[in-house]
Amino acid sequence: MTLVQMEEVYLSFGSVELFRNVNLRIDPGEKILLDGDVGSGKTVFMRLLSGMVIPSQGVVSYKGKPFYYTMSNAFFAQRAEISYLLEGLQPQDNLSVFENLALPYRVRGQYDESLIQSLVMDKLKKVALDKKAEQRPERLSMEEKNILVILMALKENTRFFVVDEAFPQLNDNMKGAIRDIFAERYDERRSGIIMSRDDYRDWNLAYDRVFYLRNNQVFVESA
Amino acid sequence: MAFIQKIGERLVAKIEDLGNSFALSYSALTSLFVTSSYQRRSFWDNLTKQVYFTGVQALKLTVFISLFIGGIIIIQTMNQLPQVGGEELIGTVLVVVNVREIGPLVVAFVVIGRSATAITTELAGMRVNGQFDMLLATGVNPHIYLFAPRIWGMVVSLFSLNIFFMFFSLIGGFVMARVITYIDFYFLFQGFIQSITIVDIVVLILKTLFLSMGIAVIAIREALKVDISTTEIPQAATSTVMQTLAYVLLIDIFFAGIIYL
Repeated sequence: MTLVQMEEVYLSFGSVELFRNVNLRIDPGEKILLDGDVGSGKTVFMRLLSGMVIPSQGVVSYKGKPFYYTMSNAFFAQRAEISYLLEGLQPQDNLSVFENLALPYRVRGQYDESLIQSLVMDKLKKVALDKKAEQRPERLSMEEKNILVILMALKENTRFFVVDEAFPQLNDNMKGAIRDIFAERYDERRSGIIMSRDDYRDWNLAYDRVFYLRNNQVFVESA
Repeated sequence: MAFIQKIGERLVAKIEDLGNSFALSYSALTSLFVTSSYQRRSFWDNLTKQVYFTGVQALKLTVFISLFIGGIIIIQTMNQLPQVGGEELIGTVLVVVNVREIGPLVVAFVVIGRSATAITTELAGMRVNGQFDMLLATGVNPHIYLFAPRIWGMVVSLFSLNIFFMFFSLIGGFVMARVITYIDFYFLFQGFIQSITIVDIVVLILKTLFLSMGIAVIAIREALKVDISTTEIPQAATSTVMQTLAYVLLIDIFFAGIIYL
């Protein structure tokens, strides 16, 4: 089954056209590099491809079903296997580091509090943030905040990773730690990935195909 | 042609606004039946905070205004009513002014100025700085986590503030009556109780429910229109004030027309 598919997709904001007539598919296990000039719309394209932006025309589907865009249980159920590491995400500033990481588990209500405690503290230990668990995110350095965002965004059982320059912002030690956490959630046969060139370089991963954005169109090339 | 297109676009935008408002109201109702214990706890925690910010913190201003309005009503009515021999109508005047009209209006204006703008700027800020997208990315439903507590917090606060307004405007009226006229509190209170009907109470509850839900829904809806720029935040706050004021006046005249005409 196709993981993600775009059919006859157009996107415009007001009178500004961003993408026209986009038709493409990503299969399970496929690793895609998203490339293009500065300002070609890579971030918007990642959001469009992963159901975070509504196309003006056409259909974007995940595992054969068009994305739901109304915020309902179906919206979240459909995105439960998609990890979004997108530019500009920020933790909740009224919650502590621990509470930010625990929030999705708590809201879903799938684990009891003691298991959430150990899961969250285990994650924080791996990136040496366990001593700052009770601090508010505004007390963290920029890099620590980026790590927190990555930890929050990486879901268990991820089948589709959408990564927009998440790795280049980290130092080498942290890259290693995050790579390990990433690898735990990555299944070579079943997880699709779309990442920027720098992310591939930092993760030391080879890609299968390139989606190149130019003149409001998407050109698909082999690696 | 361009003119017609503009009208069409505006109409579509208004229909979208209406649809979003109904969706927000519906989700506020369904959020009362969430199953996860954390969602319930988080809902009540956030609701308590909203009641504190919207209701408790606005109490001082509401009491201050209600005391003065109560006093002013007594000054004016005791000045005018004896001229037409209608001193005994003072209770009716108090009910009409406090319960039916001025009370809900003044409280709504206070809440719009303090809290509706605060809701819009807070949520719009979350949209701009990426906190809202983070919730979506981690699978947290903002309807339950952010919107519903704000809507129900507004309902509880507006209703409570209306009760306080009624009580303190009576006190303000009584104090003024003691200063300038011969009327005692018993006469004033008896007139008020005899004039108030069950319809007044039901209408006050319904009006408060419609006003509070509408104010919160408009404030949230305008915040969600903000996309990426911080310059959109004050525009959204201004739009909230204008739209909630128009909505409040519309609801007020609707109830006055339906019930009392």
